[in-house]
Amino acid sequence: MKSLRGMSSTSLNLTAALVNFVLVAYIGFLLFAHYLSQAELQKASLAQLSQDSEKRATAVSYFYSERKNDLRGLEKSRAISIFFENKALGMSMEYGLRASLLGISQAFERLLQEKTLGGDGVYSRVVFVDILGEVLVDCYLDQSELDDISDWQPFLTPAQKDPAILVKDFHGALHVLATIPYFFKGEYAGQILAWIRPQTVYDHLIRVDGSLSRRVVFTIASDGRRLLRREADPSMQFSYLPNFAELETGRIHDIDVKDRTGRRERILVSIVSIEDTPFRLVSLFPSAEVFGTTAPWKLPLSMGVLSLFILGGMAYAWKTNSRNLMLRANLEATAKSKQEVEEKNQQLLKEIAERKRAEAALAESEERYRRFFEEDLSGAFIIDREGNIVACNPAFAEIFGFPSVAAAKQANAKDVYTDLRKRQIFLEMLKAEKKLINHESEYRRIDGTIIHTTENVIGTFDRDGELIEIKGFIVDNTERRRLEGQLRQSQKMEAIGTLAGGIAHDFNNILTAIIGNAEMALYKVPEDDRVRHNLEQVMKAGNRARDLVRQILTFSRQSEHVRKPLNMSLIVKEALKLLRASLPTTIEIRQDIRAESAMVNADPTQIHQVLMNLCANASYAMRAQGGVLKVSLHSVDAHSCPRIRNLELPDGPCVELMVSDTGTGMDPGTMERMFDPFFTTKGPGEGTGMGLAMVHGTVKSHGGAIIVDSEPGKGSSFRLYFPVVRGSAVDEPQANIQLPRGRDLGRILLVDDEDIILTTGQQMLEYLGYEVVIKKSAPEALKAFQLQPDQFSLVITDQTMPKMTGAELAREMLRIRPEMPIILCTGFSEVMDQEMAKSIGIREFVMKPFVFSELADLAKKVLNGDLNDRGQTANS
Amino acid sequence: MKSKRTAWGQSAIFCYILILWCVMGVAGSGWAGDLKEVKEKGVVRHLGVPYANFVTGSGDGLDVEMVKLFAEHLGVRYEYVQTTWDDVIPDLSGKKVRPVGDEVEIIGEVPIKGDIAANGLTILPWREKVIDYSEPTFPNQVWLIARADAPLNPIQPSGDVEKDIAAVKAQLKGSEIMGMADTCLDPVLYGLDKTGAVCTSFKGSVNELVPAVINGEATGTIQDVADALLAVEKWPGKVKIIGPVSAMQNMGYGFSKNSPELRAAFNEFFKQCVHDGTYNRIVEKYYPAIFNYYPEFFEVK
Repeated sequence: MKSLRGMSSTSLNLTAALVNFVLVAYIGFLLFAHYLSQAELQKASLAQLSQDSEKRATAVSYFYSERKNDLRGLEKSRAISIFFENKALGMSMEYGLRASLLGISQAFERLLQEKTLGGDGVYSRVVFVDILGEVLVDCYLDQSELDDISDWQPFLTPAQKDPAILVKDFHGALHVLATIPYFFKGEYAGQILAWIRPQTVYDHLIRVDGSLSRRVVFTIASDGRRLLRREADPSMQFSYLPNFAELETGRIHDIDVKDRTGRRERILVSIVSIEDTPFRLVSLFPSAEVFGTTAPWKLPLSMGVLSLFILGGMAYAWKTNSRNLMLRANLEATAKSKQEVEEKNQQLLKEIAERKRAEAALAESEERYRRFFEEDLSGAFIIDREGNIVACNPAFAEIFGFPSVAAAKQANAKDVYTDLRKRQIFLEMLKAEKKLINHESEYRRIDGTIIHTTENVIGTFDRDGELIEIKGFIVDNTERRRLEGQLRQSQKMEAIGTLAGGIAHDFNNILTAIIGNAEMALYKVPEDDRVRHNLEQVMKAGNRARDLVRQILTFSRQSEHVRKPLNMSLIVKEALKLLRASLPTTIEIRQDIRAESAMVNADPTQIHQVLMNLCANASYAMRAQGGVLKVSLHSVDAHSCPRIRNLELPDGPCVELMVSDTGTGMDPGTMERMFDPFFTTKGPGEGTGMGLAMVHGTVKSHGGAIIVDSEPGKGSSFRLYFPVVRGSAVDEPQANIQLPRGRDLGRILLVDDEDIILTTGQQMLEYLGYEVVIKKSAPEALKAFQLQPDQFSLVITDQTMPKMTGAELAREMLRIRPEMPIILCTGFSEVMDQEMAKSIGIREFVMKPFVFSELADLAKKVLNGDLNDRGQTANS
Repeated sequence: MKSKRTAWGQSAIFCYILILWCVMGVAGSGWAGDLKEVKEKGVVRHLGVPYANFVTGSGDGLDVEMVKLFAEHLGVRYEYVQTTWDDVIPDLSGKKVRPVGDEVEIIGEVPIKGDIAANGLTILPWREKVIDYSEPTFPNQVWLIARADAPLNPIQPSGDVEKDIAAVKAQLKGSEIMGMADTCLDPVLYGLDKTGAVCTSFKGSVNELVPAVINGEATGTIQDVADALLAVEKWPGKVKIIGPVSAMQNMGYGFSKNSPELRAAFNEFFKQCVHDGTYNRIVEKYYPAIFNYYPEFFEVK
């Protein structure tokens, strides 16, 4: 075992020694390579410094070449030639020639000002000297730089042709000049001399800037003297410098010098010729900056020893630090773990903060949408497939009359449908379309009133396409629908009014002729004549036609009726008496007349007709089964009753006239059109379709309103509201229907554009005992009247005639004879009524068709009144 | 008899001068724009004849810049009124005159068109009879210029102007000398007509005199120093300056005799311009060579 351990130890030692040898050999190789590279580096540095010097020399050479070009430019200057041309003409300086020197001066000044290097002037002085050595022009920048030169002859170089760079010694100082001879017409005429500033050249082309090196570069003249002044000479930091003129140019010299402190120092000197100049460029490099202070072989030796120490140290350090490394690794792992925990904590805190922010944003968003939902003016809702109201807003509850949202949620959507079949249809449409836009529906509020709505709904469906819930918005359009209905009714009335106005005039003329002739015939036919029955049928049909025209005009509110304070109860009672006899016994009449003293401003005939029409319709609705006809009259306050509050009634008390039956009732379609003119559910010949239209027109023209309730199979009720007025009833005068037949009763001028009216009227009036003159046009009538105004007792004229209306004719006649009695007849006129006729002076205004007895009575009334007036006038 | 004639002649001259002064003092009064009127009207009218670099005719010139500065100094508007050498004196004074030696003969009246005459106007005795001059503003001498090939040789200065003038005149016999009558360039003014030279009057503008000589229309001409210097600079080798024909003269700005306050204001303004260097800067712009000849004139004291 010992042997084995000894072998093992020896082997290990050999291995370690081998490793060490290899390592030392490798280090030695590295150090040798480093030595070689150091030597190469020093060689390269020297080469680079040489190149740098040559480049600077080239730049300086180029600079001086440019200066020669400057002088060539001056030599060719027109200003100088002008001077010599004028001089050649014999001109003297005093008389003109001196002015020519000004041009030369200006050229020289430009050279001084414009030729700069880095902002510094290149030249300090430019002089033109003539062949006699006289200075003709002398321009300079700084007088202090001038040299006191008394003899210029040495500067003249007539033998040269090209510009040259000269170095001149003035009082011990070297000056650099560029010079060129000037020739005028081939003859030497003078010399141009330009002083160049060496300092400018040094500052911008030679000086070594921006370096920690002590390297200096400068120029010397051919004799080795420096061009710069002593205080500006950079080489002055070295002492015991050799005469550089003696050193060979083009190579590097290694010389010993002393610095200012007297310490010896080795420097390298590079001398380069500056081409085409008398100068050389000298570069001084401290040797230590190039080669360093230590020889190349010393460094590898030092590094070798150091390497051995390091190897030994490394072995020890490896042994001692291996444990530390493990400890450090553990420590780093722990620190890393701790850092990771801290990072995770930070991440966690960050996530918590993010989540809180998100929750706050979510809560804010939910609150915003909740408020949007709650405050929405349209009813928002969510309803499940069973119709349960899952969610809704206050507007939804209000639309359907629920006292609160909570109450609405207790209800079911099926409760508000007027017909559950409509819900089924709605659900099928939604399933097909997925969503319904502007869907119009009809619902029943919880107080029973019907509302019309518009909905936008969208359905939520499961994977099988089955509806899960309905979401949407609903808007109550009931009021809008009502207004639209009113608008439609107004438009219908306007249309029928236009139609009625158009036909009434012609129709009344025709009826006047029919009724008038029939009446005339009745007077002439004996009582027992069989023709009399036929004539009576003609009269009956004519009167019905006349009533029909009046009803049309009434509906369209264009008829002329006289309204006066009227006790409604009397009219109602009178009408019921008449009805009783005409109604079958299967119909029970129940009357409830309470507003005994309620007065309304109304036309009794129209009110009578209204009641008759309503009762006739009720009777018709109960004709098959019989039933109860209720007629009631109550006083109501428009503000106290919710149903009539929104009707277009004036403020104050009203009377409610209600007619109801228990007949067949009306479906919604019928109710929608029931006031339309000529709309009827009766069979052919049973109704004109003008009954309810007349009722509607009459009530509206009286400032009243109508509410109709009807349900098929249950009957209908019509509630008519009229505003109450104060006042007492006016008694209706009884018409005198006795025919005033006589002889020579007076001469009447009858005017109408219709032949049949003229003929009929003439026959009627002549039958009564009047002499009748007929005229077919107003101008003819006026002409006849103008000829004999006093020959006529009465004028009866139509209103609507071509060329001149009846009113205009009346005005003209009254202008001629103011007391002339005139009766104005019209079938229909929108521009003339009784009051307007009276204001003109017309005695009476009569609507066509008039019956015989009416005309006879009117003529007698007017003539008698006229007689009375005349008598009163005579008495007065 | 002879004494009677002399007495009559003296009386006539006296009357002539009296009438002249009456005409100038009375008839001209109220026409000229003196300082007050110039300020009231808000404009100073510059009578100018395009001549050399005094009035270039291109809107600038030594005198144009000076009068503009003077207008600015007064706080009034500058207005240039172009005139001719024949009319510049009448347009300023309101009188049509004919020079008779150093005197003038009034031959009519014309409307006054300007307040200041300034275009290298040489101060001549006959002009001083009609107008007033400012302080001298520019030195002058009249030189004879000849074509380069003319048989006239530039004189060599003797140091005595009179001798130099005589040397010039001595060469003129038989030469054709062109000038401009009734101006400072009238050869008669300098007695050239008595040298045996043929004196002619050029009908073109002053600026065309030298080109006319170069074109062979005459042997030579006379020019103010400033213009002569410009000529040798413009046409080197084509003309040569022979020498002086006059003693030293001065130029000045002309004013109506009814504008003493305006003239005084200008003199004060001019003095200020000379003092602060403004005037020399403007002169150097238009006549840089003049400083080489008359440096003492432009010396700022």
